[in-house]
Amino acid sequence: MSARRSFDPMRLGIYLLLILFAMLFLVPVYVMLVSSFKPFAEVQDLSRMWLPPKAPTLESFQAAWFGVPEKGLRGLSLNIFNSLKLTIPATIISSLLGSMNGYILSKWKFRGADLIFALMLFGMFIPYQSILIPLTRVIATIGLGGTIWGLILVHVVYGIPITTLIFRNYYAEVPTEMIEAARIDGAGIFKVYWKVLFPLSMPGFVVVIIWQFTSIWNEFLFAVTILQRPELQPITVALRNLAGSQIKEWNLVMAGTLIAAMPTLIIYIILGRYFIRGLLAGSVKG
Amino acid sequence: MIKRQRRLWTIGFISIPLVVYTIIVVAPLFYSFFYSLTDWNGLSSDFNFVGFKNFAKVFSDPLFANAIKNTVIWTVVAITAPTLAGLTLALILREGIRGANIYKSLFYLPIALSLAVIGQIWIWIYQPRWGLLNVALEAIGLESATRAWLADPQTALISVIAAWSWQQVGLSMVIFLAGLTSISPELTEAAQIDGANYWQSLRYVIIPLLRPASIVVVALAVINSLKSFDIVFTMTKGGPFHSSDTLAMFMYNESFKKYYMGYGSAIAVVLFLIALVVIALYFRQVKAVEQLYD
Repeated sequence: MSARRSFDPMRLGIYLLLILFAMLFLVPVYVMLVSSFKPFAEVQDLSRMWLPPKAPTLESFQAAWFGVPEKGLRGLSLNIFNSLKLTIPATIISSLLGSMNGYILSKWKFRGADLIFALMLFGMFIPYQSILIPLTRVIATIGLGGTIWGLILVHVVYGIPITTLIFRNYYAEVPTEMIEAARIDGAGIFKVYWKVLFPLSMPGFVVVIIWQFTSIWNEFLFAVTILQRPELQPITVALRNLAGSQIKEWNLVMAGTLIAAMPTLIIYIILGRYFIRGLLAGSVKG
Repeated sequence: MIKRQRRLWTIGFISIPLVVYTIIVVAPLFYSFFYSLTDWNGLSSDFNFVGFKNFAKVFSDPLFANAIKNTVIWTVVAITAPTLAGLTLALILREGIRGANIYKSLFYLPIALSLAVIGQIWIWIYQPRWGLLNVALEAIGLESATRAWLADPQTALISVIAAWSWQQVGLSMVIFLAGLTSISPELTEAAQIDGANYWQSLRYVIIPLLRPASIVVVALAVINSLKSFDIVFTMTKGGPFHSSDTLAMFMYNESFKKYYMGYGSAIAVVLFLIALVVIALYFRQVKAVEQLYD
């Protein structure tokens, strides 16, 4: 097909369609970006909507970050810190657990291993709403109700299926002979993991960590039900507070939105290829 | 001795996550059913068993029927619009377009963003006065079509679904692209040597071979439709007048806003049963495809 070089109306149509789609994705991002660098007065001026800011200012970002107490707007600085406190431990713990489970399920086969794996995968598909009420109860019963640690526990546990799945697929490609050899040398189950498999696992960890970090950072339902207190909420939930006052200052909302999106955007831009690979490992192979 | 020790380690290794998993995931499923038979309000420690009264209410509540209707609309749009757009983009980007990687990155960029962020972007696009959509409509002389998209019960639901689809396009594109790489170019070339034009080879070679990818895309679309909550919560909270209530949103409001935990649990159980059917169908399809290829 790429051999056709001469003018081709279909080719023109294809490019037009592509450009149309690109506009659909670029225009909102562009206007959002320019608005966030404008003061409120300029955002209100419709005739300047498409134009870059007259004098770019960071005041919207400042207001979104620190808040505007006299207008009752709470800044996002606390919430972004909450998000980090939540996402980093939950990502690390669920990745490690997934790696160990993936190891056991792929290399240390035991009776019922496949059944356990199937049950785990099931946890990936159920709508979380259907377990939400008892879950909040369980978290409260073990004394973690309304705390970040309660939410971390939930994310760790709900992260186990996908992290196990990715590591199980990853370890399936490690030759079993390597493990046999270590076993003959007298290495136990943990030593085999630590000395043989773990050093080989870095590419797997990159995929899993990106995947977990992004999905935990972006998660909403568990966060909004488990953490009711505004000062504990992660940034995805707190973002609404910026838009909560009577007159919406869009420059401010857009600045806050950009702040909330920044960590995952940076990860995506630097490590996007791995991100997509992780996505495919999770969806297509599942 | 060593063997037994080894087995103990295996059990220890796997049982800790398993126990936690049971407490956090499996047990709550059963508890949801248990609560659905009570009139628990979520706050007090005592409640009464009311039998299947909550389920009777579910099936006679017009607001539940409304939420089901909206979820069905959501699902129908989800399995068509972003799927077809994603498929089209995947097919186009496979054709050796200059800058294909830039386009790919652009289209799947929204997947990296949270639905709360996407919701905020689109609330602003739909703003009656300064919103991108109304401004664009006015610019092309369609002033009569402008409206307060999210405040109008006629358009609230579809506006939220459109915002959600904007994100999903990239997801289906990526999955279709992965599916396309597994189709060897020789197959389409052979079809062309046999005299098939592009549309014919698409229809008889490429589309049938994309079946595994299509199953994944459609299954994800259906499951994600059943779960649709984040973006509804951000944009409309189900309003105005329940016009954008989805099952998940309705369940949340009944349980955590009105504290009808018993009733909310009954909705949760119904949601779970629907999901179960979808998951079962999905695994059957996957199995059928695997057998086809074996």
